[in-house]
Amino acid sequence: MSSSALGVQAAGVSPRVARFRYNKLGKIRFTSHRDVGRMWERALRKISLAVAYTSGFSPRPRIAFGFALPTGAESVAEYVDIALALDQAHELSEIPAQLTPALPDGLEVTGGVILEAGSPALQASVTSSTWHLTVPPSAGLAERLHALLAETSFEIEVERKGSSVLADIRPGVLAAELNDGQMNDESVITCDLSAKGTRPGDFLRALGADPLEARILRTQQWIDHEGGRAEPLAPGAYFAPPDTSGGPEPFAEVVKTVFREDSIDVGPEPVPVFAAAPSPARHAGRT
Amino acid sequence: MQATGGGGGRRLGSEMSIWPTVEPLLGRVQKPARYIGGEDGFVIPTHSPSKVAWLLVYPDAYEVGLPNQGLQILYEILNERPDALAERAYAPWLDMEQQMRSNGVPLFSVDGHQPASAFDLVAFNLSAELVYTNLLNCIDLAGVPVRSKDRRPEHPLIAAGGHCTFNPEPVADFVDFFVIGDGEEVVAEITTVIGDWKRSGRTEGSRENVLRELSKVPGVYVPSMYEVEYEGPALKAVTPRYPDVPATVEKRTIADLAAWPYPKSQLVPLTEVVHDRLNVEIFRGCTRGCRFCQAGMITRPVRERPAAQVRQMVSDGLARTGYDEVSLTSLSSADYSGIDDVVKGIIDDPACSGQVGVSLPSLRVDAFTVGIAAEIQRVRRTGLTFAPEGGTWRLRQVISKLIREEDLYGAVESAFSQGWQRVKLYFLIGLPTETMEDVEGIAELARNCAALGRTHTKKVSVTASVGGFVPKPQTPFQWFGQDTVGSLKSKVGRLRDVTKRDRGVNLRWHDPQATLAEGIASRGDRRIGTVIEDVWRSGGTFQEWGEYFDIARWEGAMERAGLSIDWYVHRDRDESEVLPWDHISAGLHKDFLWGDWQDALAAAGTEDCRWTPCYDCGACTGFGIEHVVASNVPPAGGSQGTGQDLSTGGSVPVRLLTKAGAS
Repeated sequence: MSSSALGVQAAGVSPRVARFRYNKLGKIRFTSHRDVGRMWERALRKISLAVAYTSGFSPRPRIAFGFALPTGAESVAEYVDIALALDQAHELSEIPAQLTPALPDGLEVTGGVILEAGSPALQASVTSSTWHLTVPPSAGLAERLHALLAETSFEIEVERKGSSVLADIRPGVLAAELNDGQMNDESVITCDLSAKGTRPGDFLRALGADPLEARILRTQQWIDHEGGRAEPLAPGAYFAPPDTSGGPEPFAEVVKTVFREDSIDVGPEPVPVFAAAPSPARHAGRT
Repeated sequence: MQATGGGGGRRLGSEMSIWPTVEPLLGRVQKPARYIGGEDGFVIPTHSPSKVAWLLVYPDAYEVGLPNQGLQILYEILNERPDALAERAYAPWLDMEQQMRSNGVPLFSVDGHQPASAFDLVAFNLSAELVYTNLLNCIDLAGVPVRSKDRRPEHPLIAAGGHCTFNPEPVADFVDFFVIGDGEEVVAEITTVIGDWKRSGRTEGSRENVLRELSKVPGVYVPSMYEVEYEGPALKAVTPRYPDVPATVEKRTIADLAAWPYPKSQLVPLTEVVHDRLNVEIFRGCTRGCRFCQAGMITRPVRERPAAQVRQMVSDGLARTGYDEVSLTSLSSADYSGIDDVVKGIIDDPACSGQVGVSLPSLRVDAFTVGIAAEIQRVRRTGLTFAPEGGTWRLRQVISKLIREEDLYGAVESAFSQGWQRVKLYFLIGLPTETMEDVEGIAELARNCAALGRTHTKKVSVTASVGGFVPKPQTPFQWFGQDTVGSLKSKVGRLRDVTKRDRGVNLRWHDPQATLAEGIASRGDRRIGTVIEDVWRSGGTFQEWGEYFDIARWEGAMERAGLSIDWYVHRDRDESEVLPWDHISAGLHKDFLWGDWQDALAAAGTEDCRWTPCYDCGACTGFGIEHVVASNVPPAGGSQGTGQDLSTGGSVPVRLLTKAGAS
């Protein structure tokens, strides 16, 4: 099995890693992070994209996702890294357009690049995410938000692994602002929450808002970059046209990701992490 | 026009969609993906007055119901028709049901999120008796009175198909009409009748008329067209109320599986389900004649799908779905003519890149089968499952599961020698004529298998899985008094005692109380309907799920209805007794079944009728069709679990039909 076309590591060569950015919008937001992993695996097989497989008893395609989006949340900034087998014959620039129809409705690939060898994994590099939290209007919401931001510590009861624990959610809130009533009498909180820090649902509850009444949308994920921050892959970033002989492939310098042999799993299921930066901020220099 | 794909909530076109009322509930329930549809292959059909709208319901959890092939086949066939459309629904889990009831949300389709009231009929798949209370719950959630007699023209018709309908009586008061047998052809005739009703405006009193018309469709049973008479506890007769209603409803049988290459677009769920892989049905029916097996009896004769079509469905299906595993399904897949060639063809297909796994459900117990298993599990040799069913050769002759000990040991030896470490053995307890010696035979077989394994591996594990036998209608054991809970428990206890010190032998058993509840529903008559309604009204849904099953509900309901568990479940019937399903025919002659029952009591097995002269059970002759098999020579080697010596091949009494035989 390891000598199959997909088992590149049999040849002892590091595969190239492609990073794709995609949306998760609509009904499909009720599927879990793990479900999305399976959708990607099937889509790769549907378009016959030659993917590198793990070696061992039970080979799996080498796919790594970033921090999981909570079930029920939408996003226009999801990422996946896929190790391509060296003999894959696809025109790289055509892959995103082929993937979208192979994925279920609601998942749409919006960009893709080849990463420079040795680039860090998504889960190792993403530091925060920006969220749009749309909630029904609620008296005093602005005051509660200001009060929360004025504190250095804010403890609430949160659910972790099925039990209720006290957690300080304030350090994970990097920035937040409220836009009241701009859309149909709804309030939109734009916030940056640190990865591994504060979950959007917990932040809402800290503000006295019911997460079940909210529409949660991730608009950006951020990585540290040259003293500022950047998105792991800017929207619209695509593979360079074929025949970029030699030089680094486009955007490869932006992110460096590494595939470790054991970094194939989709991550833990109830995925906690959401990070964000304040208002849709500066992109670290790319358009 | 049908929109295919399309899972985005905002893209739903129909003005009747109740998605906006469903969506707010989904954050409050477990596994919300159960309710969103959007599977690869789904359709959102457009409702119109010229189309009969079918809501196909599997009355159990989404992850159990979604893979059901029968439902998917009809879903496609109906949506291909210009005069019909079909959507799907599944039983909402308890948390979702509570949300739906407290927010006034009715049962809805997962495709277009249409309320059940948008459909002309709601058709249920009944694959197991313990879903009967879920059937009632779904009818109630659909906004339809649970009893047929209380329904009005504005209510959709309630239909049911599936294996349980071979005794429809326990749910006859809740279902307007049943479809007996294969559904592929008859749904067209039903659509025509219901289309006329729909165009007539479903006026006052028209419900009786449409049901009367439906009762004339071959294979359709309308219980309200029949008078049931009792004589004390006994059933006296079930007779048609009108001369044009058939006295006996014969099952429908499609003669040629090759004409029905469905599902063509198997649904690929967005979330995890059971059997989450490509499923290709390679034949329907079974000739083995195991006497306990209702599926084998009611789906005769054998109809094989041509090998070329199987290969085509596999390669098309894998390419379309992106699955990396295919299951070749049937009641005994190793019996398919040339199964080894088909399996090798899939594995060696360059398009599969060596990454495709093949699975064969219901492995036959012999070394030949293990050879095929070795072929398809080149890498992951985790576990193999065999079903000897009975612990001694005597008992296996009683049940006509003619596996010799050397067949089993040969299979197990072959498995362990080729790298498997875990073997699972399925057994039934509570079988006719069973003694404690037969029960202990289970332990002995498991023990000997483990000993065989130890010559190959230290990590040997043999699991004996033991289930209580429930006699089923339309089988030779339909006259047999089911074993009691106490007796089943003592047999399990005995097995626990005698396997306690056996290294490498594990014992698992099915809850004998669930076996009892299944027995109440399995051979009940119409009076059992009261019991099912009582259990449902007391909150007893999802009875197939251990955490929600409570035998006290069933026992209490029987007592309140004044019905005797002993009479319905544990009593041997005699030849002259009118059975509640006598007016439903699977083609099997009652005297054949009775003769087979007498042979069983004499511990005489019935050999596989594929290789031996016809017993005239009625299934072939009655319908003017025959077994459709591609090979007239039994595969050489061993008995293939038939108890016969087939080592040299043999002559075949069946005449081969050219269409399927031409592969």
